[in-house]
Parts: sequence; C-alpha cells; structure tokens
Amino acid sequence: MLENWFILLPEIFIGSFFVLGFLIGRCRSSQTPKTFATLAQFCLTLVILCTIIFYNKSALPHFWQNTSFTTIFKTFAYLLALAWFYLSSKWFLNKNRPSFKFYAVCFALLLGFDILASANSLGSLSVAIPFICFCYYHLILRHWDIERVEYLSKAYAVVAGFFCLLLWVGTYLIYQDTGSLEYSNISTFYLNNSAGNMLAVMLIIASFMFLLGLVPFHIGFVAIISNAILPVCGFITLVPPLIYICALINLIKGCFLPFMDFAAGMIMIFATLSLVLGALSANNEPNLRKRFAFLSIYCLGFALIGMVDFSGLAVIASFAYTVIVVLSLAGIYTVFLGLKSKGEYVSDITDINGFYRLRPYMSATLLIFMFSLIGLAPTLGFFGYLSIINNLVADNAWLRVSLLLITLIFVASSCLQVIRALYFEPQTNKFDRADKAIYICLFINVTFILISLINPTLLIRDALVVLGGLS
Amino acid sequence: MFMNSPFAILSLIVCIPFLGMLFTLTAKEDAASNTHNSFNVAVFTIIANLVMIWRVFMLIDETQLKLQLFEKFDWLEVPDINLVFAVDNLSLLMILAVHLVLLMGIISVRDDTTNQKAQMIFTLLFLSMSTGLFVAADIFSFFIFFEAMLLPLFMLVGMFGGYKKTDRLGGFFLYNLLGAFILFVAILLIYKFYGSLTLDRTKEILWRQNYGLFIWSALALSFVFRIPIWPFHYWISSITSKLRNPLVFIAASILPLSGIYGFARFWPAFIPLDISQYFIWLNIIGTITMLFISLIGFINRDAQYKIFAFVTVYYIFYLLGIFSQDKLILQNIGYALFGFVIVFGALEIVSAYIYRQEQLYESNSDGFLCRAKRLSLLYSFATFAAAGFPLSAMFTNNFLILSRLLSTHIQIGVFLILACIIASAALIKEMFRLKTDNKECALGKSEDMPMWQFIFMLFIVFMLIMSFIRPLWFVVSE
Amino acid sequence: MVVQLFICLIVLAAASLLITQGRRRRIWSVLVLAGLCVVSYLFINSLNDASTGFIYQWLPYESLKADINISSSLRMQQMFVPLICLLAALVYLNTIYASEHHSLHFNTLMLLNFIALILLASSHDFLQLMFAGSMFSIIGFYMPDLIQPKKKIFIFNFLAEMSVFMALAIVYATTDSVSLRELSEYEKAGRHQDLVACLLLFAIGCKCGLFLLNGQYFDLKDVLFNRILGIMALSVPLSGLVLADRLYPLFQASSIPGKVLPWWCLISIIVAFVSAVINNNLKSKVISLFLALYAYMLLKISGNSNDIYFFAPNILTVGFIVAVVFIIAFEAASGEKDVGLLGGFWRYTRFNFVLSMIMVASVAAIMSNGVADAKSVAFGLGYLGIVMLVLRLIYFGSTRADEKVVAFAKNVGPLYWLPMLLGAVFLMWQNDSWQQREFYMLFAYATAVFLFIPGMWAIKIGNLPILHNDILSNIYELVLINPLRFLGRILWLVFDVVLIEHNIIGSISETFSAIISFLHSFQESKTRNYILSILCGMGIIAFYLGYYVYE
Repeated sequence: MLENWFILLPEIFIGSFFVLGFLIGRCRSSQTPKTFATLAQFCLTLVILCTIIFYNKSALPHFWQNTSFTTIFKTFAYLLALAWFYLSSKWFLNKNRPSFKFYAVCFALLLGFDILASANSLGSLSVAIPFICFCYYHLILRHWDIERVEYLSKAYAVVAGFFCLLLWVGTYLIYQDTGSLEYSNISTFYLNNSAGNMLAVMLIIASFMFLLGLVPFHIGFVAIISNAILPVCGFITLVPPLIYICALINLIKGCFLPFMDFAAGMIMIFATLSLVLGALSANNEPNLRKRFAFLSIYCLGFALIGMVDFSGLAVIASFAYTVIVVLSLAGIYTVFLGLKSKGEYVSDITDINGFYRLRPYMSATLLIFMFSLIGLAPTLGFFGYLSIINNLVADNAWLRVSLLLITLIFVASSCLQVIRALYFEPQTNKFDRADKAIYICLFINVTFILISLINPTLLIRDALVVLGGLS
Repeated sequence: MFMNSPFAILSLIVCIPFLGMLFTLTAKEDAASNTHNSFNVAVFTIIANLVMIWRVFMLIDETQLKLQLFEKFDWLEVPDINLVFAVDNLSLLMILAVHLVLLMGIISVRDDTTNQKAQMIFTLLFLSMSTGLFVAADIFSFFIFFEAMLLPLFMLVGMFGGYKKTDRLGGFFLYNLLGAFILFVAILLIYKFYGSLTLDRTKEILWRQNYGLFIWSALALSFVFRIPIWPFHYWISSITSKLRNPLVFIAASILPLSGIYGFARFWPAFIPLDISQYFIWLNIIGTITMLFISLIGFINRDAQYKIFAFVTVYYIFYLLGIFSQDKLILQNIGYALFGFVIVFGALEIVSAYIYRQEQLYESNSDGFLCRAKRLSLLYSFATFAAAGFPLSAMFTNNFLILSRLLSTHIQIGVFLILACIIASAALIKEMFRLKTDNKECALGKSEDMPMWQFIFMLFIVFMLIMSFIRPLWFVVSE
Repeated sequence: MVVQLFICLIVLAAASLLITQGRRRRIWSVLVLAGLCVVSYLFINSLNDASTGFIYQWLPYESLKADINISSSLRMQQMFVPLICLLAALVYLNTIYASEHHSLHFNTLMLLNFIALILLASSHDFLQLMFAGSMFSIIGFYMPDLIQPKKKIFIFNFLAEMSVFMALAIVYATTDSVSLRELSEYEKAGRHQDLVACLLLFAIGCKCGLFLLNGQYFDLKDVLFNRILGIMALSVPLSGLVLADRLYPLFQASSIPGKVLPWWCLISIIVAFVSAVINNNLKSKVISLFLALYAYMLLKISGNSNDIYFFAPNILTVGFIVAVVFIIAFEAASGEKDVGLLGGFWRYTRFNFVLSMIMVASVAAIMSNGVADAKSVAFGLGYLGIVMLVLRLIYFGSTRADEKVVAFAKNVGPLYWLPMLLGAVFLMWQNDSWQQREFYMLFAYATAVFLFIPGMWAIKIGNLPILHNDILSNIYELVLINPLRFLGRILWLVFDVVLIEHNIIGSISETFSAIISFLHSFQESKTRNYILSILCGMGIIAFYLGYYVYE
C-alpha cells in the first residue's frame, strides 16, 4: 500500500502544485508571476525525478501502467514543460499579469498527459482525453481580453465535446463487445473484424486525430495558437505531441493490434492530409504563430507517416524526428518571446523585417531552428528526416517518400519567407531588449542541437534500447 | 574511427574555415574606427588553410588516380552511416581553387564595411562546406556537404548580392534543394542495396538491378540541377547574372562546380547501349545551351551577364568533357577547372571593381582602362585567359576536350567552339569598351586598383601562368 | 646557340620592360640595342656550331606527349640571321624615331615577338605551335598605339587562333598525337581533311592579311609609322607565314588549298597592288605593299616551295627598306601622309631623294637574286613599279604640299642616312649585285617607271569618297554581327522570358498562390469552417470504413 503511494509520487507532486499554489496565493502578500513559475519548476522537477525513479512501477496498473517506453516520452515532455515554464514567467513578468491560473491549468494538463501516456485502459483514455480538452478550454480563457477568445473557447468546447462523445461511443461499443476496457483484454477478445468493431476503432482514433490537431480537425488548434497568449501557444505546441504519440502507439500496439492495418490506413489518410495542407497553408501566412502552427501540423503528419507501420525501427525514427522537431519549435518559440516591440509581442511577419540588424544572434538561432525544421544538412533536423525517409525507402514506400519530399519543398518555402523578412528586408520596427534568460535558453538549445549533430545517437541512445524492443 | 592520414588533416582543412567562422563571430566590428577585424580573421583563416592544403598536396601521390588519405568517423548507428574523407588530385585542386577564388573575393570586398562580419561568417561557412564536399569520400558524406553548402550561399546571395527581387531568391533555394532531395533519394537507395559506398566504388552500381536506372537518373538529375544547362539554367541565370557583389557572385558560380564534380565522381563503369545512345542528346542540349547563353551574353550590355555567360559556357564545356569519359581528360580535368575558376574569379574581381567605381563617382567607365594601368593589365590578362589563350591550364585541357568531342561528333564540336568564341567575343567587346578613351569618363588614375590588391592579383596571375606550365610547381617531394 | 639567343632575348626584353620610363629612356634604349647587337654578333659567329638545343619535358602522358623545344636546324638559324638584323634595325628605328614616346615598351614587344618567332619556328608539337601563335596575337594587341587598330588586330587574330585550335584538335583526334612529325599520318588517314584545310586557310588568311581578311592591317593607317613597320615586318603576318610552312602537310591532305590558295594569293596580290596605287595614305601604301609581299610568299609556299627560310628574310628586308624610304619622306614632310598633298619634294630634300634611289638599288639587288621564274619576275616588276610610282608622286611633279610643310621640309639626319647607306651598300655587296645583269635591268626599269609613268590619276582615284568607307566592316556588321544580336535577343525573349518565366514559373506560382489563398479561407476560426472540417473528417472516416468493409 505504502509502495503504491510512493509510485504515485509524480501524480502527487503534480497535485501538490495546486495545494501549494493555493496556499501561497492566500498567505503570501507579495506574489509575482515568478513566484508561481518557481513553484511550478520545483514541483515539476520533483515530478520528473519521481517519474524516472519509478519508471516501470504502476500503482493502478488496470488504469495506467508505467513502462520504460512511456517514461521516455513523459520525461521528454516534462523537460520541455520545465523549460517552457521558466520562459513563460518572462512573458508574465513583462505583461505584469498573474500566472497562477496558467500554471495551474498546465499542471492539470500534465496530470492528464501523465494518465494518457501510460493509459492501460480505454476507461483511462475516456477520462484523460476529455480532461485534457477541458484544460485546453481553460488555457484558451487565460487571455486577458475575454472578448477575443470568447467565441473560440465556445467553439472549441463544442468541437471537443463532440469528439469526446465519439470517444465515449467508441469505448462503449467496445465495452459492449468485450466486456472489458483494459487493453490486454480487448486485444485478446477483439478478434473479429466486424463493422461495429471497426467503427469503434475509428471513433477512438478520430478523437486522437482531433487531439493531435491533424487535418481536417486542426482548425481549433490553429485558432488557439493564433489567439491565445504566447505561453499557452508554446505549451500546447511543444509538450503534448510526444504524449499523444506515445498514447497512440500504446493504443494501437496494446489494444488494437488485430486492427493495426486498418488503423494504420486511417492514420495514414489523416497524416497525409496534414502533411499536404500543413505545408501549403504555412505559405503566405502573415501571422507567425499560425504559420508555425501549420508547420507543427505538418511535422506531426510527417512523424505519423513514418510511424504508420508501428515497427520498432519506424517508432524509433518517428520518436527521434519528433524530439528534434519539438526542440526546433522550442527554439522558435523562445525567439518569439524575444520579439517584443514597445512592450507588445509581435506576431506579424512584416513586423520582423530586418530583425537581424538589431538582434543578429537571435536571428541566427532562428535561422538554425528553421533550417533544422526543413531538415537541411548539417542541422540536427537532417538526422530526423534521414531516419524516417531511410525506413520508408527500406520498405519501398515510394509514394510516401515522394509525398514527404514534395511537401518538404513547401515547408522550405514557408521558412524561407520568414528568413527573407528577417534578413533581406529593410528594418521597419524597433525591438525592446530581450531577457537574458531567452539568450541563455537559445544558447543551450543551439549548442545542444549542434553538439548532438556530432553524435546524434547520444540524443536517443536510451530510447533506442527501449523503443527497439518494440516489435 | 579509422585514419591513414596524419593528424586527421582532411578534417582539419574542413574545420579550419568553420573555426574561423566562430572566431569571426566574436570579432569586434566598429564602423567608426574602420577596423577590419572580421576581414582579417577571414583572410588569416583562408591563408592558414592554404598552408594545410599545400601540406596535403605533398602527402598524396598525384600520379595515382584513386582516393588517398582516408579518414573515417562513426556517426550514426541506425542507419549505419559514417563520415569518410579522402582526397585525390582532382579534389585537392578544387579545394585549392575555391580557397584562392574566395580569398580574392574577400579581398575585393574589404572596403565594403556594411555587415562585413556577417558576410565573412557566411563566406567561411560556405568555404567549409565546399571543402567538405570535395574531401567527402562516401555517398552520405558527399550528400551532407552537397546540401549544406546551400544554406550559406542562400544567405550570401540574399543579404549581400544586391539582388532586388528577394521573392525570387526563395525559388532559387528551393530549386537547388529539390535537386538535393533527388540526390538524397538516390543515395538512400544506394545505401539500401549496396551499403555505404565510397565514391570510387559507385561505379559498381548496376543498371539493370536494384533500381539502378532510377539511381543513375536521379544522380544525373541532381547534378544537372546545379549546372545551368537548358532547361535548368533559368534560376541560376536569373539570380547569378544580377549579383553585384563579387564575393557573392564567385560563391554562386562555385555552385555549378559541385554538379560538375558530382559527375566526375559518380560515373558508371559501364553504360548499357540502349542508354548510351541518348548521350548524344545531352551533348546536343549542352551545345545548344552554350550557344544560347553565349548569344545572350553577346547582346547584353551588362558586363556581369557576359561574365556569367562565359562561366556557363565553360561549365557545360567541361561537363561534356566529363561525359566523353576519356581517361586523359579525367586525369587532367582538375587542372582545367582550377584554371577556369581562378580566371572567372579574376575577371569578376576587376569587373566588380570597375562597377563600384562607376557607382561611387556616378560616371560611366568607357575608357577607364586607358588611365588605370594596373587594372588594365589585370583586365587584359583575365580576358585573354578567358578567351582561351594559353595563359592557364584551361588551354591544354580545352584542346583535349574539344578534340574528343570533335572526334565523336564534328557538328557538335563546331557549334561548341562557336559558342566559346561568342562568349569570349562578348568579354573582348567589354574590354574594348573600357579601353576606348572617352572624355566624359570621370574615372582616372587615382581610381586605379590599390597597389596591395594589385600585387595580390599579380600573385594570382602567377598561379595561373604556372598552372599552364607546371601546375603542381609548389609540391615539394618529401 | 638558339637557346642562348632565346635566353638573352628574354633577359633583354625583361630589362627593357623593367627599366623605368624616365628621362633617360633613349639612353636605356641604346643600351638595349647594344645588347642586342652583341647577342646577334655572337649568334652569327656561332652559326656553324653544332648546338644541342633545349628540350623541356612538359606533358608526359602517353597520348599527349608535348615538350617545350628550343632547338633548330641550320637552315632555321640561317633564317634568324637576317631577321635578327631586321630586329636590331627596328629597335634602332624605335630609338631614334621622334614620335615614339614609349620606345622602351615597343622595343620590349619587338623582342618578345622574336622570342615568339623562335618558339614558333622550333616547335615540334601543336601545343608549342599554338602557344607561340597566341603570343604573337597577344603581343600584336599591344603593338598599335590606338584602340581601333588594336581591336581589329585582336579580333582577327583571335579568330585565327581559334581556327588553328580547332583544326589541330581535329588532327589530334585522328592521330592521337600532338607531334608535328605525325602530320603525315593525318595526311594518309585523317578525317575531316577539308574542314581542317579550310580552317587553316582562314587562319593564315587572317594572319597574313589576304584579300577579305586584311581589315585589321588597313586600320593601322593612323598608327605610328615605326609601329606599322614593326607589326608588318616581324609580327603577326610573319607568324602566319611560319604557321603555313609548319602545317603545310595538312594543306596537302585536302584538295581545297591546292585550288583555292594560289588564286586567293593572286587576288590578294592584285588587290594589294591596286590598293597601294590608289590609296593616297602613305602608311596604307606601306601596309598594302607588305600585304602583297606576304601574299607572294604564301603563293610560293603553296607552290610547294620549302625554302621559306631563305626567301622570307630577303622579301621582308625588301619590305623593310621600302617602308624606311617612305618613312624618311614622311618625316621630311613633317608627318604629311597624303601623297596627294606632297609632290616636288626633290627640290627641298635632294639628299633624301638620292638616298631613296640608293635604297631602291639595294631592293633591286635583293630582288635580282630572287627572280627565278615568271611569277617572281612579274611580282618583282609590279612591286618595284608601284614603289617608284609612289616615289614619283612624292618627289616629282609640282608641289602640292602646304607652305608650312614645304618650309619645314628637310633631309634626314645622320642617324637615319648613315645606317641606311651602310645597309644599302652591304646588301648590294652581299648579293654581288655588280655582277648581276638582273640588278641593272631592275634598276633601269625602276628608273624608267619613276621618270616616265605618270601618277596623278592614282591620286584622283584615291580621292574618291567610296574608298574612304570601311565597306568590309559594314558588311561584317550586317552579315555577321547584327544577325547574331537579333538571334540572341529572340532566343532570350522566347525561351527565358515568355516560356520559362511567364508560362512555366508564372503559372506554377499563381496556381499555388490561388490554392493557398483558398485553403486559408477555409481554415479561419468560423462556425462554417468548424462544421465543414468535422463533416469532412467524418466523411473520410465513413468512406474509409465503407471501403475497408467492402474489401
């Protein structure tokens, strides 16, 4: 019994943030945004430690089960969250706005991610996903200009509600057929390819597609990115993808194994649409965040197309790729935190014309991150693309290879438009001084990217061992 | 890791410009005090690397046609990819040529202090990547540098090229990137069926098995993308011919060299008869492109386009030479390309200098060379060398290539030499414009090239002449 | 000894280039001349020595074996002797010629010319041959002091070099050897022999200034007289001659040169003679006469004469002497070059006149040795006749010159007449003229032409406007240059602008822009878009499910 409490320490520490945050809010007279940021980092550090320590222990194995596999994904996600919490505090400080609610909702999300990533039952899924959507709804509302996000939040609530409904219907259908919600039981009993079962599978996967923000269910995600506050945009871009992919792999391999081909086909369709529309839509988009939102949709589609076989090598490749993409996007969002003009954070592409003349180092890092997104050698992104495309070539998946490379041209075009604005256009704006923390984070990120290039295997050595065990 | 070269010398010559770039990042630039710290660092870096290259020349056996001084570094486990470096005469000559011509370019922009630091950074990065391309000894290493050289080139062109239609630059980059992607697919296929081949073993790739036809076609297509041969000439011609910065023009003109080099390295040991019959079309298209570009260069009043036309014509000329697969040509193509690169670099430097004086003094340059003696000497020399006179290694190899092409198809050979004549005539016409005295020209003796720059260019002239007499005169046997 | 001569000439050329162009430039020029005389003397004295020559192994490849060869036969060395004397005379002329401001540079060029001649004459392979030929072209570019003649000389020579280049490339392709000794192999089994022959004909026609290809030389009419002499006597045209001789087996491989070259040379001679008569410009006359000489020499080569080493120096000496005779008249007339504005100068410059007649006698002495057949007799008579006609126009008849010209007319100084006299006497003595009946006949003929053939009709024809138009250049512009320009423009417009830029790239760009705009409109945060996306997604799911179930 006591052991279980120790195993639940990550969740407990997540929950402790709420308690401590509430107490600080009530008792401490002087609170700055940094207060809660520090608290969040402290708690999250403990969460990470405990996650790693109890990497293969589960207190409630029927609901969620921790394994090396899930730990890898969760650790990366938490580390990103940690970095982002630190950077977000600069935004709140600059705007002089309270941060407790933001961090509270983020921690709630992390709890949801924790359960989702390790979910061992459709029941956990049915709880975690709606909970996550609920947290997203509250994240949208973190904007101080409620009118601006009112419609969006309502629309999101409706759409999310619809997909949660689909999830529950699918879960119910499966429960009716098998009498169980646990993955292992479902995959054992779930042997017939009846239309009902297939429908259930599709409904559940559809909800995942919505969660991932894949086309055509991406409008909400893009809308959030373009309207929400910057800390929210960064958080929902950087942290969830790894969790969702982990959960999806768990679901397919653990639960829907007999339906793997069927599920793979469906995932492939959505991934292809995301690839194409993400790449095309990112072009000529004046809003920078929206542009990179489309690019992140593209990258997710890329990762899924590479992963669709669900073999060990495919998963490793997709994992490596996703980590690299997320690192690049983390760098890009860090730069966004430095794009401050007269106290306001700029997001239009014309606002950053000639930015490099004022901030050459920041522009250089943005350049490196974008080229990493394109997968240009010798940036780390090249390694990610190489892994995926090499697997596809080995499997003679020519159509997918062609599709990936053609859409990559459009992605490159989109990034080039940003580079053109940064470097080739005459300066139009004056920018405020950026916080030192931004430079430090950028430096760490770029150094990490450049050093990892010397030996990329170091980046994912442990993951290789773990993920390679997947068959 | 495996090495049979001392001190990882090949990795050093790739890294030195990169380290120089990092030093340049830290160099202080102060426009008010007119210091040239980044310029000095860049020049010092290149000179240091030239010394290293000289050393490497002494280590290799230039009579051997195979790659030497292997260095192998483990990079990835899954897939199993290593970085492999090695050199032979051809690659070393290319490295030397690129270093010298970029040094010329850097010296020519010394007085252009706007963003000089960024310019030096990207130039050194480009130099490092180009060097890596020429020392790469296996397919993946080759590809990495083949793609990597696009980034600094794009930045140089966009930031310093003086090109006004910046939206076109994206097209230029994407076009080259597409070519790199095609090469990527080909290399992955090679890796799938043959493992990580070294460049000299790529001849083993069969045509009729393992997607051989696709591999060879993709390889050829990816290299052709870099060479301004019709119909792939458009992006390169529309961008390169309008570049006003001599350093950027030179860098952009080195890009087709990577395609030529690719063909020289990746060539099958055997071509099936049903495919080799199509090579005649390559020759025809190449010759037509040469005629086409040379004619446009002839009618175009812009000196920059004339130089571009010359560069294009001769790149295609050497490409056709490589297609002939003559052993003697392949043995000596390095010398020809060396001479050619230096010649067009010298031509561009003097031409850009004249253009800058025109802009500075808002005067036309008709007859400028009547008063500027140093410039006149250099310009005449560069034009004569470009026209095909025996002043550089180009002469002998042009003779070889032409004779081989004439022996296979006389008509193609005739049009080919006609294209070369027209391209040269365009340059000669420009030279005469500058030498025909004009009282309205405000440029005089005081606008002549500075002595120190002139002395440096004389050294380049010396290198060119020696490349004709004894190309490896600087190699001292141990 | 040729090697030593070669090295000494390089040193002298370097010295004359490096010595600063200062106040004492003429003194330095004299020193260079002295050096040259010493070298020449040593060379002449060592003529019978069995010299080993010098060979530098340059390209060692099996199928491209080329050496730099500076060795020569006795015959070639014998050719060099009179030519080196001509060179010394030219250097001397440059030194004393008042109008030559850059005498040092021009002397350098003359010395370099001779170096190139040695390389050309002693070449054993194509590469050295082409290198030497190119040297002539590059040096020839610097020889005129005006830009227009520079242009023409360079362009014509450039085209000539390219033709030689191409011809030899074809030969190499067949024989797989660059050795000149292998030319006979090409004669037996070579391909494209007619093309090679035509290319070489064109090249030699350009270099030697045959009819239709002599525009580069006629443009020299405004250049300094000494430079004209330098170019015509020891520069590009001479290189053409030597080239023709060295590559003659290639002519023999085809039937075309045998048919074309003699007639072409004949026409060139006639045109040159006519031009020399009707062109009033004294310098143009000199040029025309030289062109006639070269055409004549080519005619001899085409007649299978392989004695170029003997007759070329003699003929060039004739041309040189005639040119000097006209130079002294030109100088005496204060630089007046239009013979229509001279006349009656024997009254004002009697010594010049006598000197001129003595020089004509020396010409007759040389010619008397060379008249072997009817062709050479005809040529000699024609040449001499024209020279005397011109002298008559200058020295005889009424004075047409300006008063100032007459007032300043004077005889040449000892710097001119002394070496001229000595030279004339030497030539007459060397040729044993006194014992030759042909000498006296020729001199008598010359005197008769001078006294009895009127020349004013030539001046009248020379004043015709049509002769002052550069007709050939206009034709070249019309037939060659303008079509090229037009073709270039059309190609650029059609392919680059219309086809690629507007059609292909423009349409792709616009298509994708339209697609992207369309996509953007459906991805905005609007109720309609949300509903549409959900319906679309559900539709895909339903379709996929249905398809899967059906399969």
